[in-house]
Amino acid sequence: MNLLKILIGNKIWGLVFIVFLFSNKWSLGQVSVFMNNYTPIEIKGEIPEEYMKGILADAQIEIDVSDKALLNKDDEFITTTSFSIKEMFVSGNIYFNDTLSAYVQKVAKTVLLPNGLDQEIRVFVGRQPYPSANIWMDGTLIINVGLLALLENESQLAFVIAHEATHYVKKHPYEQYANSNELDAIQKRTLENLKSRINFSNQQELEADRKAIDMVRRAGYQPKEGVKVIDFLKAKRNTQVEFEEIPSLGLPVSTRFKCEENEYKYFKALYNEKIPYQKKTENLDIRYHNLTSQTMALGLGELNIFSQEEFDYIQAISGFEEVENAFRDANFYRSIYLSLKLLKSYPENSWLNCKLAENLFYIAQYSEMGNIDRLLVDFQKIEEEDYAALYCMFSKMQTEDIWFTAYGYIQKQFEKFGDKNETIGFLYPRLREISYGMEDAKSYYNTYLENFPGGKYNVYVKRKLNE
Amino acid sequence: MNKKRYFILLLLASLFLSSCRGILRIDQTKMMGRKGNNVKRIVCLNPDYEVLISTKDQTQKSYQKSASKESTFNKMLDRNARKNGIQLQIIDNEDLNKHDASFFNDLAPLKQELLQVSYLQNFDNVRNNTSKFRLGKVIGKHEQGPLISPRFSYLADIYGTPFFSINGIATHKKPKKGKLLLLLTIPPVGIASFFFQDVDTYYYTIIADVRSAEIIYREVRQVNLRATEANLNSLLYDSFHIISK
Repeated sequence: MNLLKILIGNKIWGLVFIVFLFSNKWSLGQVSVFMNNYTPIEIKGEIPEEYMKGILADAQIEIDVSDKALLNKDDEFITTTSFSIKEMFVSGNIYFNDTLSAYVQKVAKTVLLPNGLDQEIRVFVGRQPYPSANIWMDGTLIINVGLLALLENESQLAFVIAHEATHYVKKHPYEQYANSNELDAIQKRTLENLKSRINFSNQQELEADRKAIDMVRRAGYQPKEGVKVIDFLKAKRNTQVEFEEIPSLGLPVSTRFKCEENEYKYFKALYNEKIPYQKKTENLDIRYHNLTSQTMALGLGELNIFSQEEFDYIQAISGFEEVENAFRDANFYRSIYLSLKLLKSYPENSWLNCKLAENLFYIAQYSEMGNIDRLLVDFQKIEEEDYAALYCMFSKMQTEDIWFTAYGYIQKQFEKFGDKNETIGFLYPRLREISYGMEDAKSYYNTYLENFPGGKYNVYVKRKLNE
Repeated sequence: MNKKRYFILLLLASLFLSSCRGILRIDQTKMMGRKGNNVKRIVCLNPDYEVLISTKDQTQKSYQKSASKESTFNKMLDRNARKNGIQLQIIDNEDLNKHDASFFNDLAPLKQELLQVSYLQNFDNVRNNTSKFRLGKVIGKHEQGPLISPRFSYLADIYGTPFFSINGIATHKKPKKGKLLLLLTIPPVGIASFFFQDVDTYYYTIIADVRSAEIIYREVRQVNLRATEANLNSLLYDSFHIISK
């Protein structure tokens, strides 16, 4: 911490370093309402009935397991499914009564109604900051914000919903379960078997893609957009950031942590060299080519039945929620990575800047404790090269370097937003307390209490002041 | 010594040895170790009961068995807390109604935070500690506990107490190993072993003080006993007794 004090005179380094880190040409679209601020989604109102079904143990889920030829262990399947869903709902990781859910349910109805599935499938939005969607055999479909943030229009969302709905209609989750149960113990351990299971699942994905095209067309959407969804999943869009700029920023601080290509690609390679992921990438290629040929001759549909503006609004919210949810999961590196991407579109957004500052604070704190390795939540899961570069850079930094970076950035945000953003209003006095002691921090804590009389940190701050 | 007495003695010895195997690890801040620490009211966040069953190849959670035990476990928690003068407010998802949406803004994220912090930080990380070591029992007393986010401090006003806890039981039924060999080498013990399952029961408690934004108490117990009501009552009573001291 002494080094931190010495470096505070040069605090601007930390700020410049972060702000210019991702100075590249790529950016998302902008939604003007979020230019200055964002408020994370809070759950309000009554818990909807279909959500309660997911929570209460005595609310039995209904699964048609009449096809005994598929599976003998149907009771076990129902129980496992039922309790997995309950655990997921009660964890607080599913939204309800919010803008995202309302919108996704609206699009889902447009897709499912003409296909006769609107009564069977219940659609929810999940908090996971990864691009994924899942359906269960009781008709619960969860689309994660990580996927919503990646999509570009309604047709792509419609494709995802239709794809998952096909898994439900074709009883794929059920078949997967039966397939894995049929294997004996020795088979389960072999690599060949792992590959064959991935292939089995890929056959189902191809079938779901094929049927989804028909469903999307029937609903009046543009089927060719499905190809782009697969393209995004191949992480092509994620790597549009010109990552070679990261090591060549030319700034004094960044040069110290410069990662050469072979260094940061190591983090990506950890992911790419795993057999299941290699297989998954191969399978995505097959799906991409199949979908391209299947949709080539198809006529055009509507890109958006509602409006592109509305979709952009939803996509922006999903992007902000991704940042928030990665933070909640203590996945601070990912939260920083996603923040930096969003900052390209919303450089003056106070919430985003302050969230980035908060992430830096926690990384510094864990580094000080000597537990920084435990924060590597995405270790061996990194697909994006720019994320790998960011990861690599942090891996080279010492605790003092991280504190220095965090301090500079937090102070700058405090000067700009200290009286508007509660988090930074609290974080800066906390940082001063760590650096200079309580006496120095007292006036800042008092300022926090004046600015945020009903704030979430009030009890903590009052206790600090009374100690 | 006739054969019957030999058999009974060996059986009792094996039962005694198996029942005495256990580990207790407690980490607590100095505030918790102090007399009259005022932990008189705790909000318990959705207690967990997990039944894990292992075969030769895999370990699986038995959801049905886990769910069936939960309400009994909640009652036992409440009863043993009261016996030690602690008021336990159990927030169980089974009791949620449609007006309890705030659960998902406040308590579900707090539970997630406590579990995360327990993984991410050790008591030892924060300040030096002095530990008392006894056979199979470790009690660490620390200046400060693992740090949680201070953003939950407002919950102290809402719930009228700064203490929030996670309590849980996990029982692990293990496959029977080497019993045939035991039967061949020490027949009485071998026979006895067929009547008793190889079960480990774990009980854990994490208590946080949201006002000071730290975990103040963490306890893990492992006993080589089945999770019968009598066994659990004794674990829970002892645990709440330590907390209330």
